[in-house]
Amino acid sequence: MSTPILEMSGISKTFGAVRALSEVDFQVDAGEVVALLGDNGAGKSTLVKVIAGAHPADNGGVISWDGTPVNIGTPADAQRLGIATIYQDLALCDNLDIVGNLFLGNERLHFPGTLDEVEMERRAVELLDSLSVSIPSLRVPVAALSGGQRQIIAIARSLLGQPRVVMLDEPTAALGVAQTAQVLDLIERLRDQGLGVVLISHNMADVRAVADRAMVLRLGRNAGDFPIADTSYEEIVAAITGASDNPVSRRSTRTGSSATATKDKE
Amino acid sequence: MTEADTTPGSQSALRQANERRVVEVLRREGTRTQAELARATGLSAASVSNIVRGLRSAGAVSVRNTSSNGRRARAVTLLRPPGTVVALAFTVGRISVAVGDSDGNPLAGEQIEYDVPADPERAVRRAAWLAETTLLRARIDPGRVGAVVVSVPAPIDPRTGVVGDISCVPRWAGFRPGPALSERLGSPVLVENDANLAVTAERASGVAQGVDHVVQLSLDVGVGAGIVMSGRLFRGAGGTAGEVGHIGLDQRGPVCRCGNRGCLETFVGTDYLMDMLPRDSFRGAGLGAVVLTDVVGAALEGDPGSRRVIAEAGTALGQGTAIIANLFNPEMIVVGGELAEAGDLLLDPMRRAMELGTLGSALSDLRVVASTQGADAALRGALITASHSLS
Repeated sequence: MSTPILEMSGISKTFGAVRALSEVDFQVDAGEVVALLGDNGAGKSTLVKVIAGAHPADNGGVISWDGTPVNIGTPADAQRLGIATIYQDLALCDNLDIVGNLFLGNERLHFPGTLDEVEMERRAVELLDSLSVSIPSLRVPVAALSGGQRQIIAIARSLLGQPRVVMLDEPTAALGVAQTAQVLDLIERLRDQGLGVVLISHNMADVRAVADRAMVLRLGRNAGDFPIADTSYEEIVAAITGASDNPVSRRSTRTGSSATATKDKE
Repeated sequence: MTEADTTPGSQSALRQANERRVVEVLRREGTRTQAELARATGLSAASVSNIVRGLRSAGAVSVRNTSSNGRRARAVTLLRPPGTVVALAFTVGRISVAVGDSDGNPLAGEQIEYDVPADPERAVRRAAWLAETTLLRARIDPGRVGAVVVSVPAPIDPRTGVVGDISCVPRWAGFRPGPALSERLGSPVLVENDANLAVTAERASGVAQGVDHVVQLSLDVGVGAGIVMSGRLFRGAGGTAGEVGHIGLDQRGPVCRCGNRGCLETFVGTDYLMDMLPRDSFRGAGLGAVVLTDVVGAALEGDPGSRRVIAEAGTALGQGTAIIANLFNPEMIVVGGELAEAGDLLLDPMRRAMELGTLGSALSDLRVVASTQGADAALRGALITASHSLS
């Protein structure tokens, strides 16, 4: 197997007396969609923020990029490596049009003082075409777009920096069925282009629809790493809720009876 | 779960039988309290309470607190037939899903655009997602789905469920959608050809109600026929009966994807029709933005180019259908699909061409009509087939 793009081992993070992450291992390969799952407070967001450079990890862990140890101390470090993060609030400017949003803070200039609108629009069309996204006009304000289209624009903006790992925090929450389908299509296309995608979601149907692997966190620790194709829905939920790790199931493994004794009704 | 799947006398068979008794009383007598249900069915109060809880989680009954003779009671009302079935339909650019009750009435539905021909595994994965999501949003427990029927725009071998070679989804050839979907959805899955399901829908609630000898033509990217003879669906030995799109009409016509020349499909298939449009029609509509419904709409408004294209399609369809009529002597030929919305603009040339190619005796009692089921005919047929497979 090839070297993963991003590999982390023994990552810990404490906020004062609270241990948010404890010796967590995580990795993303090229062309792979990894779902990061866990209950509220399991440490998903903290792990994402560690990867994105918003909260540097405590000393002791190792982060490797393409097999080389690196240090991610600030968001700029992460961006330089090629990590893009799209948070739930998307951070789009409602009053600017699509081109304006895509190039916000990164505008192309003719010579000091004037924007090269033509070049920016050309690149925007190229980018959206490569993602097979059809949006009628690039010059409408973002406020006029649907939730799914806004999500897609936010993802597209992150791709201008040519990232190799894209992290999506709840990209399908609060979207309709057709819009969710568009975002899932886009995730598949990112994978086809060889990017590593980290998908944070509470929706198991969405996870099972696009993810290759599910990494489960529970109370700040690794609680399992499952290939989606050979894992049942119940096994993953058991890992998230800790149903497979409680006094009852531990006792039943000791006594040799079936671990999950509560077989559901027919 | 069908009855055949449960062992007689087992706990679950007993449970199903008890549930049926409760539903039967509710259906006959309307709203009843749980205590009255227990008396009417002879079941214990605890069993009735359990059964009502199960039915409520499936959305089949509503429960309301009330009082009876001054004591607290729970009034139960039947909202819909208790079973749940799912229908999925793949077409070239779209996946549709419908959730229905055990009588085949639709409860919820969704559709998404999807590049279905590109990769069968992915399309099936997405279809499973669509079904799960639709159930979830309709607040129906996916565990209560009793049957799933899937419509595929390709011939299906009825013995093995394998997709046939020549279809508008060539990459699906040799694929078995049934097991892949069944594994993801956790219920038995039946896969069927779209035209066969469309004729089922037409006979259940369309123009072909009560007609025992029907051929339904489904016009889309390809052309399929669902054939019902003496009230029974005729599939052929390997499931390719009704692949009428490959009836040869013109030895010098364009080469078809099946390897022959001048097949019916090359005269009425959507892509061929779009290529036939005159250069300047729909100017300003934007490249690639014109779809078949636009052409049908323009023809209905009198656009001569669109009328000509549809009329020629009708003539070719009539030539092909003449052969079918001679073979099967049906009472009715139903024309379905988007193109059928052109009505007599399509059907008149078709009838004229049939008169030239059909035996007078076969033609005398034959009615040629447009479908009333619209684009969802196959999906509706799948829902009906699924509900039949429950009992």
